[in-house]
Amino acid sequence: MKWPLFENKIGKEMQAHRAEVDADAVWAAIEPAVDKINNKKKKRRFVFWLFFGALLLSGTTAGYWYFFRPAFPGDTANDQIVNAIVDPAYNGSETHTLPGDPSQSEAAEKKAEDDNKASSQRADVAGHTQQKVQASGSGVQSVRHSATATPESASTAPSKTAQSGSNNGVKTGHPATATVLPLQDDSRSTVSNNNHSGNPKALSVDPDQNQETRLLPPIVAEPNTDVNPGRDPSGEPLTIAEPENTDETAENASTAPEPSVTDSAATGSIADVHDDTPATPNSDENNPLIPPAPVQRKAWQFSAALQGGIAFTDRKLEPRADSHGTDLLSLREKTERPLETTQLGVMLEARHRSGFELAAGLQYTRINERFQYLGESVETDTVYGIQFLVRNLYGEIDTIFGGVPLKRTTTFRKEYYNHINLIEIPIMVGYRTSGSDLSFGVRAGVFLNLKTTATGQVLDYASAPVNIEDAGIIKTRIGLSYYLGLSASYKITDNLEIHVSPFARLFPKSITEDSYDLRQKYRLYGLSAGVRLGF
Amino acid sequence: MTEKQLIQDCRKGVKSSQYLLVQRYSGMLLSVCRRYARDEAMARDLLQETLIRVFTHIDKYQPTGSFEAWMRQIAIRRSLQWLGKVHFQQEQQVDALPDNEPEVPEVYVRMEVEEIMQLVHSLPPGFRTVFNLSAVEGYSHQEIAEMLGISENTSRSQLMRARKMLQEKIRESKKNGYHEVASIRK
Repeated sequence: MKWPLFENKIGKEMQAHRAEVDADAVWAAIEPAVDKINNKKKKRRFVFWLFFGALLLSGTTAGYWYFFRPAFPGDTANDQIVNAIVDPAYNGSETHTLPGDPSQSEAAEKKAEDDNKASSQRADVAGHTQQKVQASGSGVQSVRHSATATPESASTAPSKTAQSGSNNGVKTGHPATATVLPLQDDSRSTVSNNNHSGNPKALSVDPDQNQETRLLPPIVAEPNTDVNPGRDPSGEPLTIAEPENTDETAENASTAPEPSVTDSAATGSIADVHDDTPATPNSDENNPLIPPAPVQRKAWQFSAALQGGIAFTDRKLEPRADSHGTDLLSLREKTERPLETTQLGVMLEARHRSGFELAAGLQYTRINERFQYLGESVETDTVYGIQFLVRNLYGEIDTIFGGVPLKRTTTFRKEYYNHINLIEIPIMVGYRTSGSDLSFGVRAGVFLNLKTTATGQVLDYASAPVNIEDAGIIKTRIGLSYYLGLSASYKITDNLEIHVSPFARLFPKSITEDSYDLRQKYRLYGLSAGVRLGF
Repeated sequence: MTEKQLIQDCRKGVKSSQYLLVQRYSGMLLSVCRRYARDEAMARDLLQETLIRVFTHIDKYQPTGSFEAWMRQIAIRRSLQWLGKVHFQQEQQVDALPDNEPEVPEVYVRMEVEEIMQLVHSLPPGFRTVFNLSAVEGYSHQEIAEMLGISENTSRSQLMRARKMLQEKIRESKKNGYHEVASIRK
């Protein structure tokens, strides 16, 4: 038989060979270790499901708040408008203090008083004033009622049925307070302030002014009551074309976006109105009578963050209690030095309006180390030289030449950069202050390790460098690590923030396999920075 | 119990199945460990450690390959780690392949596996390992080079030397008589 065939036969037979072994003895020897593995797996499964459950719960809660919570309770202005729309019996004359600081209210009050004075002066000339009010934000426009308004319209639009001035009117005496005049969507009529007395505070509806029914432009917000569309500058009453059917006017209001003023003088008068106080779309903030549109903050704000960081690496090597790793520890500590740790990650964040926030994502972390060792290579050559010195019979020394071994030892230094690469899922909770542009926060959480790989070399007991990966020194999963960090965020635009975060991370367990004689643990202290994009 | 069921139960941590796995595969694994270990005590330690690693990493086993081959690979890698690489890292020149493949006497063809194993085991550790990896496990020189951290040329060189040495040993055993070869294992 030829050798290759023989070798092939050897290979097959050896592979198929089963040695005799006492399986019970083997099992008895490994049973404690197997129990330990089983317990560890159960524990890992429990931790996984715990985090999965927590993540699911927080996600569901965030989703519920985000999608099913229409508005905030406690926003009085908003509630008033909503209540008034929903409930026709709502008392629209109820005064409402505008949100904002008292100084603003005072300033607004002062301004309104000035306006009132000016208005009174003009009213002396013009005879009466007219005010148009639009409650923006609710899409409801409140204007003068018409005497021809039908009871039906009154029932659906309380402001139209001006039974008394105080019921539907707007108190202008306290500009910081305003009455919200609820009306049906898209309905328009005019509110006339019969202010012959020159007192603009009493903005009431006068049935005698019915003939001045008119339609207003769709967007009107005029804080001043110094206009008198009913009269021309000379004080003469304007002739405004009476709509043929005032009921119809009210009904058609929603479909007629342009003013139906036919008289040229009246048109001019209305133009004056617009000239005096240019209408700004949704210019509620200019109008002390109208509360600003409530700024609706969502219960949860979601954002994505991209961040990178660098950290000081604090490594701890220690021999296991049941091993003789002291020699190895000494060898490794002499030859290795931890360098910096870098990290890069993306996070999805959900922040509640209270400041509480949840974040999860994916992160890549690389722990860098340097491995340096002095190696020796020994070469043996044979050179021609004195091989023996022999004393002869005469007492002389003879020199015998021949091949003499010559040993050459070369010392060299080798340097490797070892890398431990971690793919992790960070899960964090935290709190962040609500500042205007700058906010500060604190975060804590865990990093769930998905995969760990290591490249590079370390010394073994025989002072020979071994490849970390091949030697199976590092675990493929190292479990959890804990995180604690502070953060400062600065808003660049409405949706974009930059943030920096000093942090500390602790790896409570060794990253080396249980069979390896040394435990290797890490602590990281670093700084991360990144951008956060809201959506 | 089928292999699939056994693996599933071991993944769940069912102890009876784990015991069954030990019973079923210990012989095969010990045979692998013996090929690489320096002595019987080391082989038994390696067997235990291999089984522990099998239970630790059984979740990672992909059913696309043979379960036995997967376990054998663990045993081999673990054995190599224990042996260290100093034996394999001495660069050697590749010897020229012999022109004529030597004939193996018929009497040795009929040798028992354990006797052949004894002959192989008498090779120096580096040669023995490369021979086992190549001739028995069927790894290529590239794979052997990666596993042992040596160059492909070194792997080829060591295999050639191992073959030569094994042939020498067979010749010697022929001189001393077949029975002497058989007595080695005792």
